[in-house]
Amino acid sequence: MNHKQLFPLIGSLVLTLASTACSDENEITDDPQTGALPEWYYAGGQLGTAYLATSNALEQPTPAIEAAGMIQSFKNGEQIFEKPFMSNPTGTRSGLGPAYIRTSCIHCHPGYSHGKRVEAGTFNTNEIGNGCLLVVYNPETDGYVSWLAGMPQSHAVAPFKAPVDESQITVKWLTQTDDWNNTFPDGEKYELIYPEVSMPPSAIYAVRQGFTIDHPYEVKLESTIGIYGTGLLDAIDDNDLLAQYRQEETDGILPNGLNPAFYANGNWVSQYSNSLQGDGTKYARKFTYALSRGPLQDAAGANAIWNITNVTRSDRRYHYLDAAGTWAKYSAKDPEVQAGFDNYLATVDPQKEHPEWWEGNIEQRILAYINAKDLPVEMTDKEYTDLMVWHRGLAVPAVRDIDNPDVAKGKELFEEIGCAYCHRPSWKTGSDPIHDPAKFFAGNELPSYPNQTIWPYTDMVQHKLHMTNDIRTGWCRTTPLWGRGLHQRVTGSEAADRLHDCRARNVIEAIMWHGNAQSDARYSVEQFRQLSKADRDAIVTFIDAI
Amino acid sequence: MHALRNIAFGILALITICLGAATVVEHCVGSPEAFQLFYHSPWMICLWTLMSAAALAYLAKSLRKISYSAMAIHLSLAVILAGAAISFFTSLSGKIVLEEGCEATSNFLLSDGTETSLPFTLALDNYSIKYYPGTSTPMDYETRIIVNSRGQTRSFNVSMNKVATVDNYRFFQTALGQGYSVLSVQHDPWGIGVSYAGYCLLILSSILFFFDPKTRFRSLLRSIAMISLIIAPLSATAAENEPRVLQKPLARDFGSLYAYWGGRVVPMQTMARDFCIKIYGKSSYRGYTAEQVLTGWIFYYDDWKRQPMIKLKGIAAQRATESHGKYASLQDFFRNGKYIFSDSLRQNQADILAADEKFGIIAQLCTGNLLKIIPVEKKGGNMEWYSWAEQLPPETNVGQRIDYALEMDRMAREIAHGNFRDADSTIIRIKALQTSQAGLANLPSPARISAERFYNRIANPWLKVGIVFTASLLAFVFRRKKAVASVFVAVALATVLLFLILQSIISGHIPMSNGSETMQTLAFLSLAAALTLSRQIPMIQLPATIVATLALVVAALSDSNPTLSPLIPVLASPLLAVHVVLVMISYSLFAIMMLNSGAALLQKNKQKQRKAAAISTSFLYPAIFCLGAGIFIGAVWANQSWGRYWGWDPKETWALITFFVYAFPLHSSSFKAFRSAKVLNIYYCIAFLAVLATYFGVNYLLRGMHSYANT
Repeated sequence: MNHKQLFPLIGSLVLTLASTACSDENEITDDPQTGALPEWYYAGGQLGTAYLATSNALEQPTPAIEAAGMIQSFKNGEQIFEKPFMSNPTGTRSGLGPAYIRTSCIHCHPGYSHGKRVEAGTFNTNEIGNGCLLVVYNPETDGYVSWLAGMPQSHAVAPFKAPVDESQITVKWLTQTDDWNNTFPDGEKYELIYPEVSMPPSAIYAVRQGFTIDHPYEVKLESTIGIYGTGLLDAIDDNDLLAQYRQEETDGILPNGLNPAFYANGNWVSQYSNSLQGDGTKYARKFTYALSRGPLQDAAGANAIWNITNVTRSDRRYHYLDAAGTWAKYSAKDPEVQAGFDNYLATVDPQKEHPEWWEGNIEQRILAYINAKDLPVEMTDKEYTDLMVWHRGLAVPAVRDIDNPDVAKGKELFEEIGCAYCHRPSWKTGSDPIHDPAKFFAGNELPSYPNQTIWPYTDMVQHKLHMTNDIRTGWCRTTPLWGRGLHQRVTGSEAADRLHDCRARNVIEAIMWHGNAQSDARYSVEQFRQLSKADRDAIVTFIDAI
Repeated sequence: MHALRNIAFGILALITICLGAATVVEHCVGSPEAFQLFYHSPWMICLWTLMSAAALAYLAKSLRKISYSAMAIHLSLAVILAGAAISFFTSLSGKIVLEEGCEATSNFLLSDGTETSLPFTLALDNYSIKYYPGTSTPMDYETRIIVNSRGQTRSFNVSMNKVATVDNYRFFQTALGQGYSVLSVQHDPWGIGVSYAGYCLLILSSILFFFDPKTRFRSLLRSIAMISLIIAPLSATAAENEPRVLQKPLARDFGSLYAYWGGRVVPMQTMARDFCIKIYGKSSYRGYTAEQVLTGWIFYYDDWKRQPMIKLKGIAAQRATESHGKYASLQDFFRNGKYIFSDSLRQNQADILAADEKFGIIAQLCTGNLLKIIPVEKKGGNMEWYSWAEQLPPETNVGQRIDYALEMDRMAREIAHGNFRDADSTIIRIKALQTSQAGLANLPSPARISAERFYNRIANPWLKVGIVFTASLLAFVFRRKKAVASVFVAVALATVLLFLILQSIISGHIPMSNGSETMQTLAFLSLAAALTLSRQIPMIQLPATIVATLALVVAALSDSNPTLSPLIPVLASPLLAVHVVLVMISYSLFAIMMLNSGAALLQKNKQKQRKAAAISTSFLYPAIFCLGAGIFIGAVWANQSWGRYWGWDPKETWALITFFVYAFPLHSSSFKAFRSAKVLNIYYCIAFLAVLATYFGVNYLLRGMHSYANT
């Protein structure tokens, strides 16, 4: 080879190198075509949708928060939610105990999502992500037992002792074979498992101190559900909700009808009201599986920040305790509690402002403290307001994978086989005046979501599925499906953790748990079974996308 | 004398053939049969014994003819075999199942199915699985055991790379499940020691051998000339639906954000590039830049999870994902909502662990954990960087995380609506947040960033290899026109130097911190020597350019697997890198020998043939030394990771076969045939088949723990 021939070779080499280094378009252009997204993409409406799909997809503030200039309040509220409370009496997030359930909110709401499943073994509430509460009730009456708090406390600040020793509680997972031998007509199989909880009487502190339980009791698990979007559900007008009940009553197609405890013959039987802090005004029931709560401002979150931690605030200067006062009674008699009480009290009431806690019979003093209605305020009104701004300000993630034809197909089938009857796709919110049955909020301090079309996929009504080891009472409010497909991404859970006790490890299992012969969803599950595998998968893809 | 020689070498040849047959039997029939018929069969043990005895006797008779170092090498081989025999006859191996809440046990199950007991008792204290941050991808399995030995209670941790040793019993993590842990147990108090002593002796005596002036190797070194090595990294991408990506300039702007990555603050582009190479093996995918790939995963996750872009390095992983070929999509990692590797992970199979590591990295990206873009000033003024998906430390300003998450959310919203220019403005706002919160002093200088971005554009390691190789070849072609040859060497030198300078600017330290950088420095030094010393040592140019090219190949190989995550423990050991580099060097040398001898065979000129044979043989010594050392280090690594230093894995077996095959021509004083240049040249060509079988045959035809092609 002549070396003159080589120069082109080297030249081209250099050019290749240079062109890889320098070739790039520089102009960013908009694509108006992309902008045309269907209405159901905006799960939380224009005011309530967030768009990021990373692990904090469920932690984003709504556009309404930003528009109302409440972002700082939202940030402060997030701190209260995420960080642990301490038992010291002053400072931020202080006042934990004397008995409590968890030290922080995030314990039960990993990634602000549904709780994660509890593995077989000992029940452990120190684990972040175990969002399950113990539901201890009398199976004869379906009522909560009176000797434990409705949300049983398994921790206490010394010298007090935990009302429940959770190390004695065990969870087992059992397998279930359904009417179709866990098999679809085309041969595809699925597995169903459910939890069984056992709690010996010796796990109860009062029993160890001499108390006798005189009736049978059962223990179930109830997981938290996501917090995001609750502000939007709160914005649904009570009259629209009543119309939904009336429609379902008129249709009369669900075998179990409507829960007679709350609704019958075209009208409410029971509504939510608060006469302790509020004036007893009645509101439609909206929140918790059991529909035990009405407007969000006095619902699960407002309650939980007080009763999970036992942190007092200006409108609740008393402790969360069991209804019969059993724990207080046996704590007051316990010599070890008595021995440590003065030291404990010195931190709670250093100025000795409450003589009744300091003077007289030690048993009476302890009872006076535990049952006091004028405890020092541990959470300021501003902190509580920030928390509720944050609570009402959590956005719903926009629908993912919206361009996937399977998602569109799944949406059609979801409606066609009747899932959408209870998992009602959308609601239009009302004018959203802020209701607070506890009369703490005037309204203008919280974000509002008037006249939004939202896509929660719930009718907000209770139905019965007749699952093995079912939820207490068997009645369970239809859970919103929005954002649930992100559960594993935001919590890192290995399973989808669907249903009230996280028994379903994926969407198929969750659907098939709806299939009991007496279930309100039996018809839809039968339809689902007849679908081809591709169609079933499309429904799953759709449910994960919304 | 001849009889002894024939017996020793004859049996060695027979053993070599049997071992090859055994790997085929293992593949076609099964492992138990292969072990029963070959590896552990009495007649195979007889062959080994006879061969050793004959070889030792032959050595004793040849005492005066060979150098001390060669003698030591042979003795060390005998010691290794003795160690293997001790292990075989005296060691115990089996497994022990520990259940939660069960009483301490001393029973364990031997591999032949019988039960025996330990001289102490074991109980399961607790066990845990560590996960990649923010994901449910396991990173390590760990069991804590309580040992009660002679009334003393102690506790030990066993994890994937951590062996617990109790009274000469060694425990390895093999499986972990809900409520139980399975440990494998090894008891080999003498065999390992003797074998290791043999290995050490082998390495020491080999090193002595290279310094021994009386060896044939030394006499060969005086005459040298050379060959070529061809690299053709080819791959095909199956056509699938085009994933959506951000426009190049928008992705590039995202790549200009600061991110904490690999222990320093980099432009996000660097991370994107590492991510793309790690997952796909190349710095771009289907013509999309690394930044487009990274942002694609973040903003169009549902498109990207269907892209077959996760490179799988072995058959086990390919079968598990049901991928047709080397690439799987993220979706292929799930079946019926279940992660396909959740059970098989615990078997420490390298290709599955590598696939799982890739999955973990993608999961960390899509949860946001990988994107450490938030600078937090710690007490004392140090900056630490976090992702918005993490819990930020107490020093953080309230809501600092939300500021970033909100901007990311806006970016996602604008992208979803096609408002890409507005999306670009969020990038500018994030960068402004970063600059104001970190302070310019804590961010790399603009010059460093430009250097890094330029480097990322051109940093295809194979491009560098290509340039240096081409220049070296041209220098060889023009070796008679010294000035022209020097120009080419200078081009090669300048290329290597450019990369070294860029790397130094970017990393802020001299480029010797890892294997790749050290290799590149070695390439630089040898090219510099070729350029400056060519007058004094006329023959230096060729070997120096070859060394440089080889060093760059090794560097490119290690660059193609960037360390993006805390490596899975089994893959994390530094011994692995050394093992791979040594073996790769030896294979490269064997390849050069084959090409050199092959080229000579095509020529009629006897003189040239002789010269070629001499060159090849001079390469044989370092090659076989590297192979031996590579096998030894691999064995030490296997002992740490898998609990045995030798397990007749097909790749191990074939490496040994290769070792034996190439050992024959070293014995030209015993065999006259190997003194003929023609025989040697032919032999080197044929012997290379063993390398091909070891490298490609095992990866693609036979399966085993080593089945990770292209490592």
